[in-house]
Amino acid sequence: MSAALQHPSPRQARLRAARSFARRFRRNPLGMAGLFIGLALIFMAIFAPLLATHDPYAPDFAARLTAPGWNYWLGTDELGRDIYTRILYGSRITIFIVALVVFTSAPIGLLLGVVSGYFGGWVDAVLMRITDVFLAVPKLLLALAFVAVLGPGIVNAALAITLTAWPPYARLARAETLAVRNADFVAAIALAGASPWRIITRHIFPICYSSMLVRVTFDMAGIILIAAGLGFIGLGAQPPLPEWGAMIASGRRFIFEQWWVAAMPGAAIFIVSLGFNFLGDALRDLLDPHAKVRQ
Amino acid sequence: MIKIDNLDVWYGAGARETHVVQGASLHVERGQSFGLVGESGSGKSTILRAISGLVPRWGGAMSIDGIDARDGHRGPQRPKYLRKVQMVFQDPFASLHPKRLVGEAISEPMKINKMDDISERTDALFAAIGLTPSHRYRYPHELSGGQRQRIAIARALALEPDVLLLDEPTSALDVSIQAEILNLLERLRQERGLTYLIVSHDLAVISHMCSRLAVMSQGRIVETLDRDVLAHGKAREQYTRDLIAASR
Repeated sequence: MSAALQHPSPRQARLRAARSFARRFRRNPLGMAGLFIGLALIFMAIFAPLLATHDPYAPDFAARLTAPGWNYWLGTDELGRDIYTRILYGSRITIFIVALVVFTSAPIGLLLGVVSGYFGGWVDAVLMRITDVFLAVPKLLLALAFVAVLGPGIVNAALAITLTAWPPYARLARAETLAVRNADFVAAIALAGASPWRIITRHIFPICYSSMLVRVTFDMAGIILIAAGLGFIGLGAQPPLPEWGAMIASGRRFIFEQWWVAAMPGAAIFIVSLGFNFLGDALRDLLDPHAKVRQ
Repeated sequence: MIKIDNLDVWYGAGARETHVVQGASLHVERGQSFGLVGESGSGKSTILRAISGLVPRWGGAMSIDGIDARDGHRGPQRPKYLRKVQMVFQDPFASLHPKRLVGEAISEPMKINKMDDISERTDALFAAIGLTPSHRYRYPHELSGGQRQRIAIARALALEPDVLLLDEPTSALDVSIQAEILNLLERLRQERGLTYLIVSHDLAVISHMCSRLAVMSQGRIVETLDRDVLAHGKAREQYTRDLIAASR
């Protein structure tokens, strides 16, 4: 055994594992590009007031529909508001929605899927039929119906997306659980007297984390698109909030003459979704146990 | 210490039901090392899993040190039962959680059972299995097969049981490591006064480790005999003689 393998503390052992992961991740250029885009998005959201060149809400009718140029980098919209500034502030809304959806739907899906797979029998049958019902309804339609009931707004849009986003996580977590529930290490901890709850949360959850992380990263792109879609049809963020989908909707009327009004937020959505897909691809190459077998 | 009378185990249900163990009986004295040999599928591992409570349906009577297995598998007697009997699994790659440090694997059973001085006990167990405490903070994939099996043995010893059920403890290891693990097990048995029930398809392992053994075939115990009977080739049953002949 080499000296480098001596771990004096659990923290260092985990740090070591993280470092080796980072080393392998750095070899994937597309993944690094995706990570850069994700970090840039967060950076934009945090420092929006410092990076902004104008006020995101104050109209300036003298500057209506100005083409991109020196003063307005990405042009202005029909109220003369700077599109660059609005995209900056819009990144906050995007991150808020994505985070809200991810932090609600992933734990719900994980818990239901693992419980379903671990206990099996009628618990599994009931939970999976509920999951099937949610999966059978088209995503945007279910979100639409939900927003129609609760009223438009960012939080309601996020909750609506959550409602449609958890079933695939439940399926995934169940599949991972079925693969390990009869494994010897689960039998061993059960023989140590562990309760089902302890086995589920401490031993089966960690098995699911990596495939969940991959799936969540891929889904972030989809969440951004659905959120923008809801904003576009007027059921997500409401004006004057600079939500990217709503911005595209307002630019629709001028799309042939003043293309930048719709194209700039569209490009923002495109770049961020692409970034999360790159990131998801890279994570899958590194984390997906099934992909490893194929290599 | 271990009393099994007329054990039946079934897997599956309805048309796919298989009668894996049929009327098996065996008694193991305290401090004894008892072997179960037989071909693959003869039901020997299933007996260990039945004692551990890992099979869904069984009939007959089993008890460990006077605790009835039916009480021990669930209910208020379970913690007491589990501190009497623990199991070491065949494959040390599958029996350790891939994402948890091996030190946690050993300390967690003690935490669950609210034992005290867990850190000191963990260090002592690492010393007992011939590893250093610095191995605590490693992941299973950073250890060799033999080291992992030592960890699995230490985990089984964490609750200070009287009985260890050993399911093919060396068959997943390199030949060069097998003897080390067997010697470790023998030393631990003498130091701690443990009772072993060892399953193996390898007659050499059983005759090295066990004073008494039972031969299984197709779910039944064919013959129970002492080691010296085995050594002198005086087995009663033809099946046992064939097995001995095949292993030479």
